[in-house]
Amino acid sequence: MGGTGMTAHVPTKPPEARSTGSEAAPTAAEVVGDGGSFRATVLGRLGRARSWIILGVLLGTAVLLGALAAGSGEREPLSPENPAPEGARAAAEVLGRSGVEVVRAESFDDAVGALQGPDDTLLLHDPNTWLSAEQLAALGGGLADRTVLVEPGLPALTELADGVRSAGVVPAEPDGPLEADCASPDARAAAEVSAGGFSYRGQGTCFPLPQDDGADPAGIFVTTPDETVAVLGHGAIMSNGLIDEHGNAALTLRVLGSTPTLVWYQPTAEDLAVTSGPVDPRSLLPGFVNPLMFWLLVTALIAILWRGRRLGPLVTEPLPVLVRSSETAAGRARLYQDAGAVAHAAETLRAATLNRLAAAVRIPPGSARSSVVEAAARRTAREFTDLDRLLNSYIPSSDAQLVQWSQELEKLEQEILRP
Amino acid sequence: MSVTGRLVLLALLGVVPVLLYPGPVSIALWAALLVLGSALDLLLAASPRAVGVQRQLPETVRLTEGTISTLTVRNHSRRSFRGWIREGWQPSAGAHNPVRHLSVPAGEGRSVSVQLVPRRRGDLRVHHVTIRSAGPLGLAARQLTIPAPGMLRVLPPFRSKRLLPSKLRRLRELDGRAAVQIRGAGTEFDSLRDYVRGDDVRSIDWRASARRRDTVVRTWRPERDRRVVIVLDTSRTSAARIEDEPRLDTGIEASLLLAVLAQRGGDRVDFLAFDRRQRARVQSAGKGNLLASLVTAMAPLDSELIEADFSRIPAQVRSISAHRSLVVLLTALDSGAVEEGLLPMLPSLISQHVVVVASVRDPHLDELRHRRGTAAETYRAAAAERALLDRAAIKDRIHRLGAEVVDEPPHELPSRLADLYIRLKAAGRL
Repeated sequence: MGGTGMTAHVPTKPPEARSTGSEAAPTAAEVVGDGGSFRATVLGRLGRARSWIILGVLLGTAVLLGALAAGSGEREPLSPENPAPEGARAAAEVLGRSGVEVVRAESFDDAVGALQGPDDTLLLHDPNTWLSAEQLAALGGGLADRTVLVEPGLPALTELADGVRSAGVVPAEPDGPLEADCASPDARAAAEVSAGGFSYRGQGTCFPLPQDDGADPAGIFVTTPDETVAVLGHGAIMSNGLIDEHGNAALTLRVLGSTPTLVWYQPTAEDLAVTSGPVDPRSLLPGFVNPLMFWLLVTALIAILWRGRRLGPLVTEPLPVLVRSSETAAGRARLYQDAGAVAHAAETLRAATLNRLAAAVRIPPGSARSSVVEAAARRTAREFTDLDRLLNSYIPSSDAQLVQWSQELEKLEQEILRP
Repeated sequence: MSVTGRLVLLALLGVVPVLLYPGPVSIALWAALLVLGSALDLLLAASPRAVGVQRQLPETVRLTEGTISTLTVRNHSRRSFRGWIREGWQPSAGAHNPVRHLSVPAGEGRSVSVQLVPRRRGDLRVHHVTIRSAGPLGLAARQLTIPAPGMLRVLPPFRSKRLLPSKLRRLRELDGRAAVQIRGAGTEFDSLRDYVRGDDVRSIDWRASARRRDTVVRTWRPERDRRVVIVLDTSRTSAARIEDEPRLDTGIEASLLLAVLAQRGGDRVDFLAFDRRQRARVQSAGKGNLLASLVTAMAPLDSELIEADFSRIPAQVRSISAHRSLVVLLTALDSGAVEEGLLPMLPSLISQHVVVVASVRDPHLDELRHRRGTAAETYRAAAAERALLDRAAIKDRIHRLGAEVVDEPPHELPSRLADLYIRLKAAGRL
């Protein structure tokens, strides 16, 4: 910007006391403001942006509602906060109301911490086997007074439930409920539970599978002899969907509600014991990097605002229509070529050349071709037959011939017009 | 409102506290500083609504010449104004410095000049002036666009003005020539002078010689006070661009040269721009500023995308001049349009007037017809030859009807048309 080099001081006069002076250039009236006010401008802008604002508010509300719905809805099966049929919120709520403090452990350390108190039950549901043997051993070391393993895998059985073995999946055929058929008071109280899940073998096997009537039957509920560890092979009986069937509720509440505190622990990927795996590179960065990045982003946004604001609206340019004059000729040429009009093009070239030659050798236009050819032959050293072929009789039949012939024609014309 | 580069710099400076005390607190504090500074600036900035703008603009300017639009900015508020002013000229006005930075103390005025070098003929407009008033800290600014319309008429350049002296000299040479050299129907008796050797003996005035002792000859001068009507076709064919110039602009150049020449030659000149209706009309206002009124009338002319209605031209010409006149039609000689429009109309015009048909010839066609290297080029040469043949045929037909034809490339046309006028005048055919 040129700066103040071209500014000049002008005596101020009130707009109405101006005299349109005797300058060469006429002066327009002074314009002050756009006739609006700050308020009107703001309101006008808002009014124009109304549809966008409404759209934004609707979108925001939808996103917010979705987030709220997603936040309350835990998707984890058997989670004490999941109200879906696979969740176990009903069981947790009932236990809570009957005086059991249900503590949900979010991590391994959390669970260990919660189990420090006296008289507590640990519910461990680890279908993905996130916990290592060491972690399981740490949980088992007399930490909990009672441990309930829901659908445990081999490591959990080895570490926590000595003497209980896995016996495979419960077949889908038996549609009826399983009967307690054991000495455990909890199982006897329930009498019948829904079939499904995994089966286990141990000393205190309850709810045996009907097909498996050997000496060592497999059942879905096994307790260790000292009754401190219970293995529940069918976790779904605790779920909201099945808890009201048969004696599911009785078994669940008795098994989980025997102590004042219940630690509900479902390990996640976060609990994976970190071995010498790859280190997260972000953790190696100094602490100021993230705030700095954020601030630079803010600065960039301000810079965008700075450069993005135009000094006044765009001005349109009414453009006149202009057409290249030779475009019709170019279009016609393409038509000739596409239609393969070799003969027609040749005839045009020949007629134009003959016209010019006739003018050059002073023969009136419109005379016979032969007379032009004769006159042309007199002007050059060429043979008459040669010229007659070129100017009169030869008709090219291909593009190549047309090009060659037209070049010969051009050469002849130059010979005669500029001798 | 808008923010300034200074705010961005200040934000960038916030990197230091963020580095020293990383965390949300430093970020929040610095952001609050920015917001507070901007808000203060917006509150303390001079209101752009209290800034008065007054434009001083010449009415006309010739194309290729520069001019200056002077804005007087008066600050009627009680605060000092610091900020930017932008004039919203359309791009072809060629504003070199449309954005100006200036500061105006309270109650005073300053003027800023915006240099304009228009790039197009016609009426160029400015719609608004945008005022951006920055606060004392220079972090944020208030912005307002106020409607301040203005118009600058850009006149055709009249480049062929440089040909005028030589043409005028040729015109003056016609004066005082012996009649025999320019004998024709309309030559007028001018004066008597002494016989010098070489004069045609047939021009000796015997009666006057008898009264005096010396031999006296009559001299003649070209006829004066004839009418010249220039009709410029503004229909679709005038939109064709030939050598970087639309046919319309070449026509304007040619009509300007002819009009000025004819006026100096003592004839009355009328101008008419026409397609289906009259687009511009300049009457011979006797002496004085014919050129000024012509360029002013021609400046806003634009090609209309419609077919010309030539059948109405005889009536238009009759309304301008009831007498025998020289009618110059500046149009296109493209086959098709001419056969249906111009040719049927010509006989009735020729029966009353001397008619000249002037048209711009495309030199590109001549280039095309010589290029015969490949098949595509040869076909193009054939198409060019076809166009030229058609053109020659049309010219021939117009000739046979009794009108003169000037068909020249753009830079030649004004000169050749002027030559034809001088020739017709010398021959006394006006």
